[in-house]
Amino acid sequence: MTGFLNWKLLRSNLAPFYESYVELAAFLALLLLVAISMTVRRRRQLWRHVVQALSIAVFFFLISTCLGVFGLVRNAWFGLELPGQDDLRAFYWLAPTVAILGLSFTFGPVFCGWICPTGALQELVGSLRGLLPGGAGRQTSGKVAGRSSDLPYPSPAGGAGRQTRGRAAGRSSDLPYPSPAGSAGRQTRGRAAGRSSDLPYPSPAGGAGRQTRGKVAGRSGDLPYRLVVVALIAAGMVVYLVVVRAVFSTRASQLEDSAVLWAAALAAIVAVAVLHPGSDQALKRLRWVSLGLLLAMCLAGITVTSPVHFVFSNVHDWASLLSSLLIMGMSLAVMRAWCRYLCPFGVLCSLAGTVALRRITVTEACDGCNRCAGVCGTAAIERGQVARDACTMCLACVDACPQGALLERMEGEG
Amino acid sequence: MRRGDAIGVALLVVLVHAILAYGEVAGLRLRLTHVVNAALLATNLYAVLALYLLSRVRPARTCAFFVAGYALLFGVFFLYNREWQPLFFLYGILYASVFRLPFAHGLFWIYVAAYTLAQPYPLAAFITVGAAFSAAYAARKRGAGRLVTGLLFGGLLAFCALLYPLLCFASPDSVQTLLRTWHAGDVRGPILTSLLSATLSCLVVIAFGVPLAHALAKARFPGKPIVEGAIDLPILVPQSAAGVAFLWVLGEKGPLGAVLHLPGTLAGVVLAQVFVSAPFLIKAALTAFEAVDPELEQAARTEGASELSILTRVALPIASRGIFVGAILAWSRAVSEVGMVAVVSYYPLTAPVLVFERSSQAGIDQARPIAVLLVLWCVWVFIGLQFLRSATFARWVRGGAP
Repeated sequence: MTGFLNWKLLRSNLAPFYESYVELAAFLALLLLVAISMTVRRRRQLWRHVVQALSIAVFFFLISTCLGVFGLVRNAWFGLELPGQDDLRAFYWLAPTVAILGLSFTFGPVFCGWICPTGALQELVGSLRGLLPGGAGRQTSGKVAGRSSDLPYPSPAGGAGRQTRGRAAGRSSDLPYPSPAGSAGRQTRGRAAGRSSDLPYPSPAGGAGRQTRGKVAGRSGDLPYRLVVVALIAAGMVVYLVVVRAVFSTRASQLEDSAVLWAAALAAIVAVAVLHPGSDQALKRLRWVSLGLLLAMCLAGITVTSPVHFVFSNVHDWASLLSSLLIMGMSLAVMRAWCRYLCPFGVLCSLAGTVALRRITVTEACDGCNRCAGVCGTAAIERGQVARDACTMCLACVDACPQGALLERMEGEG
Repeated sequence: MRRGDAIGVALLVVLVHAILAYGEVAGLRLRLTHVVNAALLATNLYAVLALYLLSRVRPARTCAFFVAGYALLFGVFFLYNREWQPLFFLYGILYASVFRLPFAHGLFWIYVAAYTLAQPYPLAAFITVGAAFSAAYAARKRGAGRLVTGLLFGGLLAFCALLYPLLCFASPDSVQTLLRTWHAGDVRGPILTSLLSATLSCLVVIAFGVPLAHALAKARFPGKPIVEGAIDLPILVPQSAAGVAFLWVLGEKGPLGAVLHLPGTLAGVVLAQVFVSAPFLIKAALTAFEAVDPELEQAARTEGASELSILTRVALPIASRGIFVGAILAWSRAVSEVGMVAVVSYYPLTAPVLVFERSSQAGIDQARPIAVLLVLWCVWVFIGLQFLRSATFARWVRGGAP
């Protein structure tokens, strides 16, 4: 059994660094791959998916140190104290975090969009949404904004469908921004949708706006569908907790339960996000709470494992596997839910990303078709503006823009 | 720096590393393994890239600073001390990343300096200097002049140096150690006694100090300066001497001792704490009452308000902020008192007395966790009160403004 489970291909470190167990070559190669891929213009999203697939393979089969989104924070926390006392161990604990955050300061949070296996798997599962019964139809009708952004490449039909079928067509056809990307701060605009055609970016797809629209247009299928999603999430959570408690209660350590707690919290958050799509922006701030909790645990000397911990090390932790599956499943309801609402390392990368040298700018060529918001996996684009604290630098919006209006630029470039 | 220059520099760097990998350079004798060489190449190439990007948004002089700083890091952490080599990769990448962000850049150098020079307590050094730097940076951002920023940084640095031992002191203790100490049993009692007695004595001081301060602010009488000076007397008198004086009166053989039986009771502790903390509250309240505009009171009087309602509805609300500050000071002074409490009423044990006892009998190591706990408790109550003050009074002032 254990032989079957040991999927790591490497038994020793790939490259000895100062005759020590520091194995980073695979990881650094991935970063190098990103650097090369970022210069690619044609078929960039394909390259991105190739890099993501490679990174999943690398993380699964090669890396055996804990480089999960919790591990990256926790290791750095331990390592911060070490320079001057044990330099090699300081390097060992700090190097991945420093490399990723350093790159984020320069290129934006490319790790999140291009490498992170958690994000990649969520994208993969999220893209399966179209296969669900009713899923594609719902998606093109653009009802729930956070979810309409699932497809990395919205088919033109989807875009058209969103505009015509998606909302009261008579009203929205004259709006420059029939934005399906819902998040907070839109209630007022959403309410004002009826008279908003003179606003530059009326974007009527807000929480309140959506609900009123739903009532007005008599599209009663909207709310029950959300309830079904929430009920499924809740049921999954219960089953999950029961299974973890009943079947895997013989685990040596209960620390892995932290994975369960975080996944359960995510399920609750996703339930809120599905029922109140307008709360997306506020819920994104929960990443700071997640980071604070993790740091408090580090301070207290309690090791917590991330919900996707099972990939790393030789400890095959079933709780972590199940919580990973749950988190991937959340992407069916809200794309990249973990990245959006709870990732403690993502929020650090985003923080670096807000001051990064490289950024996505919107030029005057923008005609407000809002296709960029449709492809954004983290609902970071609103009214033609990229919110840098949520962007993962996947550049899907840049590639999706039919006008070529979105460009990735360096700071200070025209 | 044009793109061609950048590529040229990058090729040069690659060439140097190729030589390092496949040939011994005369005199250098670096002896790098291939992995270290490759890691160094990656770091250097990243630095060249960062320099190239920097040169597009910043003037040439800034780029020269970039190169100088990188060279300094390389010289110190790679060449000067071989033991430090792993750190160079971390520092080099971070440096190249945060160079153009002034705040992060400043914190970076503070971190590097703290963890290189301030061993074995680098964290405390980083926190203190970093806090001073952050405050000065924020002030500068908000339009403070160079002189003010410099004075702020220097002053905060000196003040933080005073707090440095406290931070060093707390850092080796994990939360678990502290929890164990807290649950050990003989510590919880004294700490709770301390908090309780300090609160009681603070209330007592408020009860008689605020009316006294109000009277002193309003009344005119010969010898008033002497009275005002006398209020400060408890600060001047050594606490042990004051304690002996109290015992002389209140002790077993003293004139009042037979009646009151204060030593050995909580009331004795409170009495000692009241003595030392009263000046702080009275002085603060006096200043606050003196600052009340007499015209306001005059206006209230012409409207027919009684003396009492002028005090409670005009003077007290205006002076309350100052009184609250005085109360915080009085509480802090009361909770930290050792000398007088130990002389007047050793039992029930208060935490400062316990720390003093442990450190003199069992040694510093035994006393330290208790002391850390005590400091944490007091600091948190202090922070809580200060927070309450700013939150409460800011609203009062805003809401009360006409």
